[in-house]
Amino acid sequence: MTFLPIVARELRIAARRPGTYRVRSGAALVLILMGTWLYLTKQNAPTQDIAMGLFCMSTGIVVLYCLLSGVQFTADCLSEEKREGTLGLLFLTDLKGYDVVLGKLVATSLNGFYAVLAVVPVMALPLLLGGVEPGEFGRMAVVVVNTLFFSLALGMCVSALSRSPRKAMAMTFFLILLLTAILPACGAWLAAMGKTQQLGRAWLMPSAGFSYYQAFDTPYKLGEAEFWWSVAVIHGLGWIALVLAAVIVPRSWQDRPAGAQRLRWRERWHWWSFGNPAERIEFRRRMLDRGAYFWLAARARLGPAYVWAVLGLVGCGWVWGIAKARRDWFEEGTYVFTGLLLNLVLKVWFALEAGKQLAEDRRQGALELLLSTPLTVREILRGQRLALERQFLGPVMAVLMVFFLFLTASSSDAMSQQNPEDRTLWMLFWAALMLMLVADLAGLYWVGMWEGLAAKNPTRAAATNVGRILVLPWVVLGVVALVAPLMWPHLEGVPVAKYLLGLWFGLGLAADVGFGAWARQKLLAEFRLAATRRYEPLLGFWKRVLSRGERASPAVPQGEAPHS
Amino acid sequence: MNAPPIPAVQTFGLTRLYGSITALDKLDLTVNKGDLFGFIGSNGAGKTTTLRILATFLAPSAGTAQILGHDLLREADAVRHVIGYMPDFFGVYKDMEVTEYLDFFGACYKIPTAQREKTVNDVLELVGLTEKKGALIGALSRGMQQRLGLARVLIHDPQLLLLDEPASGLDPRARIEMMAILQELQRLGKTIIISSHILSELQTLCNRVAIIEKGRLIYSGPVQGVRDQVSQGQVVWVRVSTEPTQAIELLKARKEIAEVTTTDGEIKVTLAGPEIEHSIVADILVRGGAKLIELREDEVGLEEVFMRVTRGETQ
Repeated sequence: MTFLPIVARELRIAARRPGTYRVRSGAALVLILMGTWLYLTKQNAPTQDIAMGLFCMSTGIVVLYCLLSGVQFTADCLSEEKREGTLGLLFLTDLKGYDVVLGKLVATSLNGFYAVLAVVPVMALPLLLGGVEPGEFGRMAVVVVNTLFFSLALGMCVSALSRSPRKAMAMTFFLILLLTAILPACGAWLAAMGKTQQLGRAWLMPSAGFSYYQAFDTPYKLGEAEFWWSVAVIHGLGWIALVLAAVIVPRSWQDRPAGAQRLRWRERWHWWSFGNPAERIEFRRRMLDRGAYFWLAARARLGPAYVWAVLGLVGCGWVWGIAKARRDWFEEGTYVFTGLLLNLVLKVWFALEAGKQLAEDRRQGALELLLSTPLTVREILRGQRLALERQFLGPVMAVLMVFFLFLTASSSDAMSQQNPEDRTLWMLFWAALMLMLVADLAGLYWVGMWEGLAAKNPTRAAATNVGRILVLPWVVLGVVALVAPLMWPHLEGVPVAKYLLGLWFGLGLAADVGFGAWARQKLLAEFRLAATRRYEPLLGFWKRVLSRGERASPAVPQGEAPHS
Repeated sequence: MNAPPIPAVQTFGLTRLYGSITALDKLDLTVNKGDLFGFIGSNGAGKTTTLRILATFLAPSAGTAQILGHDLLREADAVRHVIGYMPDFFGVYKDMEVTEYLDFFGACYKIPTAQREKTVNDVLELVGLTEKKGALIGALSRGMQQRLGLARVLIHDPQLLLLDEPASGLDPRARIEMMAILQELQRLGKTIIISSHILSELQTLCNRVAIIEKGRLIYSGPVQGVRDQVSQGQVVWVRVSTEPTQAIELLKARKEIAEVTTTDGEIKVTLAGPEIEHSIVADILVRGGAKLIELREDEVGLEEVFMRVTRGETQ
């Protein structure tokens, strides 16, 4: 009999995935590039300082990567099998919960483990430079592996409980954040109050950040036991999560009949979300007259209310802040925090919604039905745009209004605590933020729609959309900020805020226009072709590159007929 | 002199490639108006690909087709108005009510608002789902969801229905009901192309069939035609009340009879050629003094026909 048969199956699947091979080289390459940059910027510093800088940076990045591995790799592994209906098939055999959980853990940890394995030699470079002790390096290796195990196990446990990919990923992220940051923050707060010093230290134990900090020589020598306790607690939590997952999985894969109470609640929720029959009919008629796809994408009538509710929460925060801090509340820090929060929430939410309907239609085969009707591609795109407008137009206008108020406040003597010469920069910042909000939403709309059509699932569509429009400009900005001192050393000491703001604005706009135009062109020209690609065999990366221009799929005929 | 009627579907060298795989290889097919046309083939033979192309969902790699006089490539919009396509797996928006679902597709087909309610009620009545109009689709059984799919196909009163495995996964009762609905639709003048694996039902349901293997058309024509092609010489089964030996000798003595054998008391008579009338067997026996109880033609089932004309090759 094969020991842990799922492991063999999952490893075979992982071996066929190109990502398995890309991750390890990618991880090592990123670390080498960053290390090289750090080495070049600090060429004149003592070797020991360079070594320590390299060590801190590389280990910090690796621990962060390990910490988030659960969200990326395991949070949706069991829930996906539940959705696909394949988990039930496994439990119809003699397999036990631990077979499935351990098998999945091995398979999903493969990428993370390979990445860690690839970067360990890079992490060891400071050891050769001197300034880092072998013990320090060894402890850090323990922290890295332990954090990876803990994060993957936690993701597995949440996945065993969930069915929806987004909820699973969000819950895993929240739990990691809770244990790593929120609990230590509570501990720190209690310690700062000076009443329960011991309790505060105990609350730090489950934090991977704390074990990372304690692994360095100086803190380790001050509290050797604390480091090992922290490692043991994190490791123990990992095993508890794994055992829980193994116990929960065999009990959670079947659809259970809902009880009367649950059915009543479900019915109430349905009524609350969609309205009573008369309201529904009226709502449907009104929207279908504007566009069939508009109704399909916007039929949850409470969609806009949720966005307003979140804005309302931010408003409540402001009311609380004004009541508490009074006049001190009105300063640039509060404005910037509020502005960035609103900006981020709106954009990410919009990115999630932009391609959701199309991705769902495609996933469940409804797109095939829609495309055999006379509904045109432009009507589908217009319907989705109207649905997004219905949900977001009001909140976006309100947020723009708030930004305008912040801009005005930044220019006023009464509401700003800045020097008059800095005020121009602040006003530029707010104007850029307002323009970027509008431009980003336009970019997110087009890219979101295209990714909804082309990506494997709705989650990946949203992730790619966010990555291209929101994250990429920041990454480029970060790289430029890192490289600039090397390229132009004479700029040291020059105030660069204005240039960085301009660069951020330019990069953001370039991403919006570039990716947006590309996605728009793809949507208008290849919509039907992309919708049928799920029936075609997937080509590998190199085959796709090499066979560019001689596609397996047929060329699209001109105009609307029949596949435009 | 009258012009020949326009066929409902006529394909010209329809070809579809998926990478290096030829899913459809120069398919030339004609379906007449009013036909209930069975489309038969093994898994991967190219049935679904053909239906997807005819539904304008997939583009052919080469060739084209005429659908009720409209060119598939140049007049796709017009084609979409005259066809109703039901794929083998279709999304049903489980959180929608039955009426909402049909109302939505009615709007997709640009049916005016004032007319949609009546149309929805009519198609629901036709498929026997009137009582479920307020139900959530997710709560319907598989059979009811298939009926709903059929109702969706009919919402814009198309002249041509393309149904890909409409009876798959249905229980016997639901299947029989589905077939009855299809017969009723044919009576109403619809042309129906139906792909199915349940050949015994297609045999009684369809007036014409096409058999496809590895993307190539093997046969297209009346059901009886393919049976005649397959049966090597005509076969008649005979039962007599007396000892069969006398009857066998009488039959063997005639040159019109190619072969005579017995199985379980029945005499299997193979005629020497297709031009020979079956009644000659009765004539020989009665004239020879044998007491004839039963005489029937050998029926070659569609399943047997399919097994004989195809090799079971897939792509």
